Order: sequence, then C-alpha cells, then structure tokens
Amino acid sequence: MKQQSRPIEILLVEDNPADVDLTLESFAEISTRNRLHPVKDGEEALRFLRQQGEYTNAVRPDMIMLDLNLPRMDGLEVLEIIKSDPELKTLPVLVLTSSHSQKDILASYSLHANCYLTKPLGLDRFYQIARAVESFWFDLVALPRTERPG
Amino acid sequence: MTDQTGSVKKKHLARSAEHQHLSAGCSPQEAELEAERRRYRDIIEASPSALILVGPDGGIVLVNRATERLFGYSRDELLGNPVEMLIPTSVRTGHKKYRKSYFAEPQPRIMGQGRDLYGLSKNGEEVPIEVGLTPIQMPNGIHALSAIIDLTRRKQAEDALALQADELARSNAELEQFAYVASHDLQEPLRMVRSYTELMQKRLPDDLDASARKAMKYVVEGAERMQLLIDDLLLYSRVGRADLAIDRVDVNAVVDHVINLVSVSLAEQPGACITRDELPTIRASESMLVQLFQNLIFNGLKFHGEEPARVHVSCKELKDRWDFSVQDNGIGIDAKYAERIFQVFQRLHERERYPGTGIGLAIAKRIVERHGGEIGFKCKVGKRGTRFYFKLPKDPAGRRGGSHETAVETD
Repeated sequence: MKQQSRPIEILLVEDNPADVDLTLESFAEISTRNRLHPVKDGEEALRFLRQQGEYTNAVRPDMIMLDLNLPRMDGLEVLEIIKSDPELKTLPVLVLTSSHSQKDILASYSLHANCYLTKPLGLDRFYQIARAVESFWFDLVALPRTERPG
Repeated sequence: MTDQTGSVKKKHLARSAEHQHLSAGCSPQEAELEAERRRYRDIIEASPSALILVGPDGGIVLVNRATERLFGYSRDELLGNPVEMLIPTSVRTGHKKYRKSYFAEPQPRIMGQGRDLYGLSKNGEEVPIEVGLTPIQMPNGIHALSAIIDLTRRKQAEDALALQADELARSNAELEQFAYVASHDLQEPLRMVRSYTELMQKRLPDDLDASARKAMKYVVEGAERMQLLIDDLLLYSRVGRADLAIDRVDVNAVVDHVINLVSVSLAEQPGACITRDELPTIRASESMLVQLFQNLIFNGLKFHGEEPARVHVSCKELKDRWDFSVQDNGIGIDAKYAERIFQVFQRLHERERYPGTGIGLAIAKRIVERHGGEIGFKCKVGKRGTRFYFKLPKDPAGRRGGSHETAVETD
C-alpha cells in the first residue's frame, strides 16, 4: 500500500470505553495514516460492515479489530458471521481480547480469525502492538483489493 | 440338668449362677464338672462380643449378656427362636439359605466378607455388625457359634471421616477455582490502572512537583507488583489444577533446559555457574519438572553471598524413589523459617535486595507433592549454602490428581 494516500480504515469492535481510548491513543501515537472506527457491539459492527441503518455512508474498512467479550452477540459469533459472508470474509479480522484461554484461541482460529492478540499489560506494549499491526498488515502483507459494490 | 426341654434349659442358661446350690449334694466329680461348666459360662458371659449358638434347625440355643445388650432382647425372648429374628427382613430369606449351606460345609469364617452386615434389634433398628462363624460339634449335631461385634461406633467414625474427606476435597476444589477466577478477573481492572497511569505519567507536565511525580511512580510500581503477584497466583493455582501428565523424562535434558532459561540471570552474575551430575530418566510431568528445577536453581542463584553463586544438581537412587539435591553456596536459611519458606508469598528478605513475590518455593513444594514426594532443605549451622532436596517416588501414578472437575483452561 506504499502508493496509497488514503488512510487505513480500521473497524474497532470494543465495548469497553477505556480500551477504545487506549487503542485510539496507541494508533494515533504511532502514525497518522490510520483511522479507527469504534463500534460498541457485534450488531453495530455488522450494520457498519453492511452499510445499514446509521452506517449507510460508512467506509469499507481495511481491517477489523474484534474483542471477544461483547454484550449480546459475542465476538466469536460476529467472527463467524463475517467469515461466512462472501462480501466480508476476505477482510482480515484481528481478535484483540483480554482472554488468554486456549479455548478462545482455538475457537477464534477455527472460525478463520486472521490473528489472535491479547491485550497487553503496559502502555508500551500497546504501542508495540499498534506499530506491529500497522507495519505487518499494511506494509508487508498483500491484501485483496476490494471495492465497495455499487 | 439332664433335662433337655427348652424351658428348663433356658432357665439354666439364664441363671447358671443360681444353680450352684442344686449341685451341692453331688459327688466330687460332678461338683468339679459343674464348677468347670460355670467357669466356661463365665467366660462366655464376659465376652464383649455377642455370642449366639445356633442349632442345625436355625434355633437359638445359647446367648450371652453382650447379645442382650446388642439386640435389646432378653435371653428368654431369644432362646428357642429362629436366629432370623435378628436379621433385617430384607435379607432374611437369603440368610436362611446361607445358614443351610453353612451347615452343609461348616468351617470357621467371617460372615459376608466384603459386604456390610446389619443385625435387627428389638426396637427395629439395623445395627452394623461383623460376624465370625465357628462350627461347634454338639451331641445333637453341628451348631454354629456366631461371635458378633457391634460396628456402630466404628461405622459412625468411618462415615464422619468420609464426610470430612469429601468436604475437604470439595473445599479444596472450590479454593482452587476461587484462586483461579479471582486472579484471572483481577487482571482486567489492573490492566486499566496500569495503562492509564502510564498514560498520565507520559502526559504529566515536566514541571510537575516532585511529590506528585513520586506518587505517580508508586501507583505504577504498585500496579506492576500486583501484576506479578496475580501472575504467580495463577501459576500456583495452575500447578494444583492441571492434569498430571506423567511421562518418561530425562532429567539431564530438563536441567540443561533450565540452565538455558536462567542464562539471563547467569549473565548478570560474573563467575556464577550451574553444574550437574549425570541424572536419571524418571517418570514425572515434564513441564512441572522444568518449573521445579527452574524455581530451585533460580533460588540458588538469587540468594548468593559475597562469592559468585554456584549451584549443583545431583541425584541419589534409592529402592523406590529418587533423592534429588540442589546445592548452592548462598546466604543460607535459618532453620526456624523451615515451614514459612514453602508458603505462598512468604519472603525472608527485603524486596530491595532480593526481589520477587515469594511464591517460587511454594510452587516447588506443590509440584513435588503432586508427584507424591516431599521437599525440604538442609542448611548447616556456620556453613554457607543451602541444600534443597526433594524425594520423588519412582512410581508417581495413583497419586492425587488435583481437582479434575474444574474447567481445564490453560493460559
């Protein structure tokens, strides 16, 4: 994406405002080319991705960062819906959660999560994750070019 | 006394002592015989076990005082009646069959081995008993002598013990679960405290006064320390909960791996070294063994004195166990702390000098105990260095496996 001038659009599915702020802070700290769109639960995330309701004008994100512990529809359900939707399944989904449980790790990858990250304990580690995510997924990795239908 | 009718016999058996006078006019031989009978009768009466003599037809021929006490019947109510009156109704028919087969092939044995036996007392209570059977040859055929022990108290004690063991196991399992859940859920808010205090620290104006800066530093340090404690608590709880996966483990490889793991602290101490003898291959959980040696070796490295730390691992083979030693040349441990050092979060030294949460040896102890072994230390007075030893049975199988009913979640 070296030639790209448009920002990197990241959908952040996270219900804890403190974590939303930390993630926003970390990504803002490491570069200015990313733009995060926080949504509070799975249903809102799906409306955003499908441009429904209040999100008819939403951009198509380049990546989804998904917490597992969400109200109502939990993160794994959201993941399953995304990965079985032909329109959405090519989007990289990064699970970002506080769970260290093997069960969650296995379930996430079984549902085709693109990677699993645990929320780090210190601020520096948060920055490190933001930096790593940005440089790996947007400098090194080739992603399919997808245009918004219509 | 030659009268064989039931009523006279009953009377005789019941009140043999009163019969003394009847024999007063007999010949010396008869008197002697009578005295001997009396002695035998006294012996039977004195027995703490209930004794019941049963004839070939199943009728009760003789009982003693203990029988009356145990079943609550008087002698007159028992004699001449079928022995089945003392058997709970549910097993009465079965007993008749057993009785017949016993008389077909009479020999001394314990009745109903492996089963719980109950007697039926007059007030309808079922009394747990143990019964020994002995065939006795009588002029009118083989009789069976039952010697009956009342197990009520033993049974009550056993039940109470079993109940206590159950409760203990349950409360242990609950504690494990509690420790796990508590430490797991405590991580979340702590992560917030840490992240946001760090963020605040970062954004503090440079000219913030020294005391505020110091306060911030303490908050951050406190959160970091709590993090360490929680991590250690999780580890400790995991050592207790995880399934014990026993494999054949080459302890040489384990110790070499640990030396590798602690190489960072080795590098910080010039001259420090870890050595080992040739060690055996044993049956144990490999991951736990790594943790065990790591904690003991790290401990030896950490508590060094003026001289560079030297830690040596050795092992002695005994008939049914291995005796491992981890010897260091460090500052030693006062014997009066022998109990305390293996407890969770117990520290003997100020944090500044020897950092750590104080859980390392508690985890080591837990690992050894889960393998059915023992851990301890030797520290000679006036001599530097401590020798930690642990004994592992060659066959660690069949040991307590922790609380398996809790969800296995590894992190």
